[in-house]
Parts: sequence; structure tokens; C-alpha cells
Amino acid sequence: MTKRQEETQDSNGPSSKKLNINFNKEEIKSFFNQKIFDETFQDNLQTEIKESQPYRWGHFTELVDDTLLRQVRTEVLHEIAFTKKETDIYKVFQSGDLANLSGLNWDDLSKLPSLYKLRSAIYSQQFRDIVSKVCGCGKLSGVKTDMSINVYNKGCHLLTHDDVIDTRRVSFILYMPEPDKVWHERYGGSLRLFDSIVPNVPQTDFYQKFTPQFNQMAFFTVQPGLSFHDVEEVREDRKRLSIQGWFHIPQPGEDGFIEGEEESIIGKSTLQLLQSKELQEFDFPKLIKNEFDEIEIKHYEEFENVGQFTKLDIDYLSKFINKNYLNNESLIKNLSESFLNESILELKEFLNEDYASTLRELIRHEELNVKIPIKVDEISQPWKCAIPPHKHRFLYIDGKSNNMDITSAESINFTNSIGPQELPNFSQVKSEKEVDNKLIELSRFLKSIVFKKWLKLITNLVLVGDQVLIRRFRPGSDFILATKQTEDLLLEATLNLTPSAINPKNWESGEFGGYELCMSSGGGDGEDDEENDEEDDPAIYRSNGDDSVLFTNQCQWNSLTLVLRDSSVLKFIKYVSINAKGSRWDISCQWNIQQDDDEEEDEEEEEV
Amino acid sequence: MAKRPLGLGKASKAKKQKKPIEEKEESIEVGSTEDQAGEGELTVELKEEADADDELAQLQALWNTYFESDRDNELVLNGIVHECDRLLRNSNEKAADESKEGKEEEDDDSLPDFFYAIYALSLAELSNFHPDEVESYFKESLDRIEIGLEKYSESRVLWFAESKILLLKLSLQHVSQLTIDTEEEHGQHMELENILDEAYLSFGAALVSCKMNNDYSLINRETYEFFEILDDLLDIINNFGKHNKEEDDEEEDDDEDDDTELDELHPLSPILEDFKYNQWLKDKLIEFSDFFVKFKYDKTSPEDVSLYRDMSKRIGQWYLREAEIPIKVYTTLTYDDEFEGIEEYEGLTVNEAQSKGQNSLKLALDALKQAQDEDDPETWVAVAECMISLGNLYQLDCKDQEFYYKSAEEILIKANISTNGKYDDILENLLDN
Repeated sequence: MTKRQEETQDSNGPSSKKLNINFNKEEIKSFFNQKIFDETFQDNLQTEIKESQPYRWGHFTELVDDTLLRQVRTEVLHEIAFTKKETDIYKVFQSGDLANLSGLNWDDLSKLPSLYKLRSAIYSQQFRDIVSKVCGCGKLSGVKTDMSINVYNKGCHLLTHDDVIDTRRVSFILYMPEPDKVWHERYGGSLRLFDSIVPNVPQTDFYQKFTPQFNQMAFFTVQPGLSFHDVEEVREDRKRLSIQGWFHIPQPGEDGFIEGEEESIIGKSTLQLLQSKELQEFDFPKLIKNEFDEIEIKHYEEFENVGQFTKLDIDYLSKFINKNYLNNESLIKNLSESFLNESILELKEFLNEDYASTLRELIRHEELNVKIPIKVDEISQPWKCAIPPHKHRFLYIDGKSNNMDITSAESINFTNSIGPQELPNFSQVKSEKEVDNKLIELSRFLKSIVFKKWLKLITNLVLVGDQVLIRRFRPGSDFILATKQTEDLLLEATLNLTPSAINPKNWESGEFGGYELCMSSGGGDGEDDEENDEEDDPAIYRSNGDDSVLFTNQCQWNSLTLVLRDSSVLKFIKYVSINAKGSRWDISCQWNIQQDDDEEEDEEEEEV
Repeated sequence: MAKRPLGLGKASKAKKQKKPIEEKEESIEVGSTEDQAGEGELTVELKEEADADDELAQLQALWNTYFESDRDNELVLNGIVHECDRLLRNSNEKAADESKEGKEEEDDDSLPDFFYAIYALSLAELSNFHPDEVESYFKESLDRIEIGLEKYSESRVLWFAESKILLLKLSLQHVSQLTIDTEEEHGQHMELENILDEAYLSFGAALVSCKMNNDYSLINRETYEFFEILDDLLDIINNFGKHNKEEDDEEEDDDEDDDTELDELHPLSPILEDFKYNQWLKDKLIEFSDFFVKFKYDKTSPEDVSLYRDMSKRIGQWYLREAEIPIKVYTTLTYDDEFEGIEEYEGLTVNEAQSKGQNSLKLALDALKQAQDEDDPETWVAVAECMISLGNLYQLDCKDQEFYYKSAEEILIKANISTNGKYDDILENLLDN
């Protein structure tokens, strides 16, 4: 984005406008609380930041002249329209066309004189010098300004990220909730900082929480792969107004400019690192399908129609599945045709009534009577927590034993590269809880040969490898950011088992998240697009508009969704709001499918 | 080799290429399955079985389907109104033919009372989609009621419908036009009161008729809606002007009083001051609920259970409201030093306030317990909060107080488990005190 020189505090550019845009040093000083110019104050803050954890960060209280900031708040609320923006990583109300204050025109400024003063103050030489000194981060640009205004209302949140985009050197957030009132921790909206297992891999639990008050500014040096933070969801019906901004590295012509520094920083972009293979070592659960042996595959190859089911097959299937999906041949035929055309199919009331009602009671009983484990050390077997939290966070049972330690780089290395390896085996997973055992029993069924034969009827696909995960997405915590698969084609099934979805009003609106959304990435590999688009935004992915959304699946009870996913499909599970009426529960299955050589060639020819 | 699916992304792309450009024009067709949908028709799947040869049964089923939906589809409403027009036209033609042939008129029962009720309610609902034509929709709607009542002068279904339509008219046609600064002119308040009185009269007559005829089939969700609309309306009137302030209103703490009061010249002022409306509403609600419990309630029906809980919650809220002044008097006279030595406040002594408050809160507690849903912690917390209020009306540390506080604590602990500590502050407050 081109910055206009005349808007900066030191500019001498053409200026025949009425608004005073040039503030002298004394004026700038008067915009702040005078304490920040005190050497001792600065030294103390510097020491505090040096010793801060999990990385170098600090905050000012009563930073700005109180009257000025109150005026800014009033101007912002009266003059700026906010619109809701939501992606897989955030939900926030942002100032519309004024999203980037650097782009303001003079008409806008005439309505926002106090905001202009504030921006001039923040990017002034005096204040930059103070920030630079207390952070020990080197010089900061006064030319490249970068600020936006956000309102976090009830339900708004921003998931874990490290802010490493472009040439950002210091991130800051100036908070403007309602003056004269305490913003209580229980309202949510706190800034939370995360320590890292190794660079670029944040810990699951946050390390530090900062609950903001009016006229406080939190700030930290942007450190690639280290400065991970999030904004906790706002829980109550209140406005948490803030100005978010960045100081960038000095630009050409500015004091402190270093030739080549920009290029070197951009090379460390988190976006590039996210997909790197070394870092995927730290992903748990690993998305690895277990290959079936030839004998098993033969079962599927030879299975063609319902008539081939034996009585024993039907007895076993009936124990779990709604009989309509077993006996009704014309329904099966219709489903199969529909899947052939759409590559997606939703089967309501998939489990039979008896099984479903027992399972629902057990899950709901768990939700209503047992405190949800939130921190890693509260989670007990057979459940595990998916890491790292800048990609996903949820509880899961994967059918493997629980002696796996993934809390440090060393233990992860042992798990990945040194220790004994094992295949999933749900028969060996034990729990004291009936609900877990019921879910495990169901997972075993989903891994049965006869179920995969039934899938062949519906999908016409021969399955050759699988992964089954029981998952729980806890309110106020869990999500999966948008990802693409590496395989060309995958059959996926999500057996949605969210008991609170019996009442559709609890989830239908999408307000409480938890939905699964598939979107088209536009055909290409998409990575270049993302990089180019994300100049000013910490979000990693964003929706490309309604056209790209292939399907959205709200939390449901007892519904099986089958999707044949190709490599152009991005999928995510939206963060579950803390105000949701329960967790999202599901069993997620992925199957590798047998590729047909002739068909592949045909397809290639068609595309040509 | 069998054909194989393409994959979600590719299938979507292929579909987009095939998709025709022109938009389909939608029309409506009454039907019971999706299979009946032809080109350019919107098919409404009926939620209940209806005899395909019985046009009136189909109309009733279509109305029920609309009523149970989100009620945001104008197209369905238009469909119902068109269907009513058609049925009425047919009926009139038939009557005219019979008259020509010299037969005696027998159209009195050709269209039943519920036909006119559905016709009128649909027109009233349509006003939601045409804010600039509200008046004419309500006029048409009430005309249909009038025609119906001319034929069926003792019709409960028409009385129930009329009462609801009048409330909607009051809300959408009149109250919505008022501002905090509106001043009374030409007996405007009389007009508003008259509409409200008429609505009460119709609803009251319908209830009496149910009792007289021992027919409670109309005690259901649809007729219960009268209370919801009325409650909302009284709420708007009670809070009139309180949300018109600037900017930061939504950030006000819950416990802050809002002192905005209506000018006594405001047309809503007399309604606000007239206690009869509130008292009447509570009495009728309890009567309605009693009828439902005695004659209709099927505990195995989820719809019935949901309606019963809603009614109980509303009754509980009424008793809570009733307890507000006694609670205020009791706590002020007991704990406020500035009131030391003062025996009466708001017309109540401390003992009277205590006893009145306890009575109302006990009734509220009973009702809120009935409204509890084991799947919804919010409903448990309503019980806990009522228990805390009741405990507050007993002497410090006495057995009763301890009992209510302890019971509330247990409920709140359980509610916090299932809601990630949503009620921590209430629990902390209770434990602190």
C-alpha cells in the first residue's frame, strides 16, 4: 500500500488544508500521560520487559491523555461504521473503509480530529523512541504506519497467531472499552500469550493473560515463530473497542534503515513455515491412514450389491445403523446416485434409534455433570489434545496408547523418531467412562469390514486405508483452521454426534461456531494468493466470498456426512463459542481410495 | 467398471458450468411431498398428513406448517391468502349458482370458521413484510374476522384469532409510530386502550366459551401466543423511551437504574399506570395454563412439554415481578441505615413486605421448577436465583435462609460445570455474602 508522506507527523508536503496536521514536540508530548517521558519509568519498564515471559512484552497504563482518548472513543463510535468479518481464525467487527487509518482522506480526518492526533502521537519520534528503548528492538519507522480499529462484541475472537507479516517489528493494541468501568476477566476479550515448544510451534495452553482496561496499551516485539498470542472470546454483551497497530522496520531514508532487512524478514513469514515438513513433525494427531492388506481390499473389490450381505453381516450392521439404510434397496440406490453426482451425501438419523438414544444420554450426561478439561494437564486418558494451537485444538481418541508425551521438543522427537511405533487399535483403548467406551465401540464398528462394504454400496469406492478419530470440540477452546489434504482424492465421513443439536436452535444460526465448512481454493495450490492477500491481516486464510463455499454443515445429532474430497477443497471447523450449549462431538473418518488407472487417464484426457 | 464420483471441488465446478443463467420464477403449490414440485414451483412440505381431496384440511395443514416455521417466508403467506381467495370465490360462485337455480342458500357452513381465522391471521402476518401498508393489512384482516363472526357469532377460533390480531395491530400500527416525545392528541390514548380492551374481551370470551362447552382443543401453542405478544407489548410500553439514549447504552451495567419516565401526557402513560392490564394478564395466563394441564397436557409429547415449560416460566416471571416491590421494601427497611426507625415504605411495613415477598417468590419458585429443563442449565439457574431472592427475605443465618442458599449453591455449581463457569459471578456473590 502506498503511504502518503504528507500525512505523517514530520511531513512538509503540500498542505493547504484547514486541519492542523503538523504537531510540534510539545503538542505531541501533551497527547500523552507525562509519566512515560520519565527516565526512571522507562528504565523500570525496560527491565520489566526484559524479564517478561513467555516472550518480550509489556504494557502502559493510562498511556494517552485521558480527555483525548475519550474524545477518540466518541469519534470512533459516532463516525465509523463497523462490519462483521468472520473467517476460520477470527470473528471481529472492523471499521469498514477506514480499516487502515493510513488511507484516510481529508474529509474523514475532519470528522476524526482526535483520532488523527492520536495516530500522530503514536507514530511520533518521541513515542517511537520510547517503545524502541523499552523493547530493545531497534529503530521503528515513522513513515510506514499501520493501524486499524476493531470492536470485539459478544462472540468475537481471534485465534492463535504470531503477527509475523510483512515488516512488522512491534505490535501494539490500545484498549478503549468503556471508560470509568472495570473490564472484568469474566467478560473475556483478554490478550493471551503463548510460549513455544520450539520456534513456530506454540504450546497448547496460554502462558500469560492480560485483561485490558481503558487507556492501556499492550505491546510486544514481533518475533517470528515466537510471539504467539490470541484474543480470548468476548463472553458477554459488551463492546471491547481497540486500536490495533504495528510499528514497522525503518524504511529507505529513515534513521535505522538497513539494506536487505525487509527481504530477510519476509523470508521468515509464518505462512511459509506453516506448511513446512519439519514443523509438521509437531502436529498431533498425525493425518496418517493405515493401509489395508490385500485380503481385506479384495472383500471390497468383490462386493457389488446388497444381496451379498449375509445374515450375520446384517445383524452386525443393524446393531448400529438405522435399518432404512440397510433394507431399503431403492433408497440405497438413490443415495448412491446422489453421491455419484454431488460427491457429498448427508444421512440423517444414521444410527438406529436405540443405539442413538443411549449414546446421546451418555454424552449429554458427561457434558452436564463433568467439568470440561481445558488445560492439557486436566485431560485424562483415553483423550488427547490436538496440537499445535495455531492450526487446531480439540480432544481426540485415536485408538493408540496414551503413554505418548508431546509436551516438549525432546519428547516429541522421541515419539516421532526414537520410541516404539504402533497402529491404532480401538479394542485396546480402555476407559473408566461408559460414554468413552460407547464411542470406542462405535469407532470399532466404523473400522469393520462390513461397514466398509456398506460404504462401497453408497459410494462405489474401494477403500484401501483409513484413519478414525473420535473428537470433541470444547466451547471456548477448540477449532481446526482451514487445511488442504495432500492426497488427490479422499473419502471422508463425519458422524456428527452433538447431543445439544437435538434442539436445532442451539446451533443452526452458526453464531456459536462448531460448523464444518468446505470451500474451494480456486483450483490452484492457493499458497501464492494467500501470501499476496495477507499484507495487513494476521489471519491466515479468509473466505473468498459465498461462491467459494461448497458446503456448510452445522453441528447435528446423529447425522453422517460423506464427502469425496479432492485436493482443491479447503476445510475447517469453526471455533466453538464459549456460549455454545455444549461441545461439538463427532467421529471423523478418512479413507484412501483405490485409484483406477484407466479412469485417471480418462480424466486427464478430458481435462486436456 | 462403475462410474465414480468426481470429488466435491470438481463436482461443484462441473455443476457451475452446467447451471442455467436465468432465475426461476417461483410460485407456490400446496403439496405434501417434494416430488410434486414442477418447474418454477416452490413446494411446501406439510408437517402433517392432510387429506389430499380436502382443500380445507390442506389449507389448515399449510397454515400449521407456516406457523411452526421461522415465519419469514412471504411467499408461503401469499400462497395461503391466494388459496383463501380461491376457496372464497368458489364458495360464492357455488352460492350464486344455487341461488340462480332457486335452491335455498346453504353457504353458511360451506366455509368453516377456521377458514376465516386463517385468512385473517395470514393477512395480519403479511403486514410484517409491508411496513408501509400495515394499516390496510390490518383493516383487511379484521374485516375477515367480522365476516366470519357474522356467520359464526360464537366462534372460539375467531375470538382467539381476533384477540391476537388486535394486539399485533396495536403494536405494529400504533405503538411503533410513537416516540418518547409524542404528546396525547384527540383521545389517542382512548383509542389504544380500546384496542387493548377489545383484545382482552375476545380472548376472555374465547376462554369462557372453552369452559362452557368443555372443549379445550384450542388451548395450544397458537392461542398461547396471545400471551407472548401481550407480554412483549407491555414490556415495550413499560420500557418505552428507555433505549433511545445515545451510544453507550448497551454498556450500562445491569444493576444501574434507568430513570427515564414517560411524560404523563404521553398516550401510553395511562396504559402504563393501569394495573388492571398486568393483573388480568397474570390471571388469564394461570387459567389458560390450568386448562392446558387438566385437559390437554401429554407428558410424552415434546411439543406439549415445551409449551408447559414456557407457560410455567412466564408465570414464574410474573410472580418475580410481583415480588419486586416487597423485596425492595424489605431490604431497605431492614438493612438501609438511612431508613432506621421508619416503619412504612411504599405503603408496606417490613413484616408485610416480608410476607408478601415470600409468598410471591414461593409461587415463582414452584413455577420456575416446573419450567426446568434438565438439558438447559439456564432454567436451573433461574430456580437458583429465585432461591437466593427468597433466602434474602429471611432473617440472616436462619434455617430457611441457609436452606435456600445451600440449594442455590448446589444448582449453581452444577450449572457452572456444564457452561464453563458462566455463572461463576453469581456463585461467588452468593458465597461472599
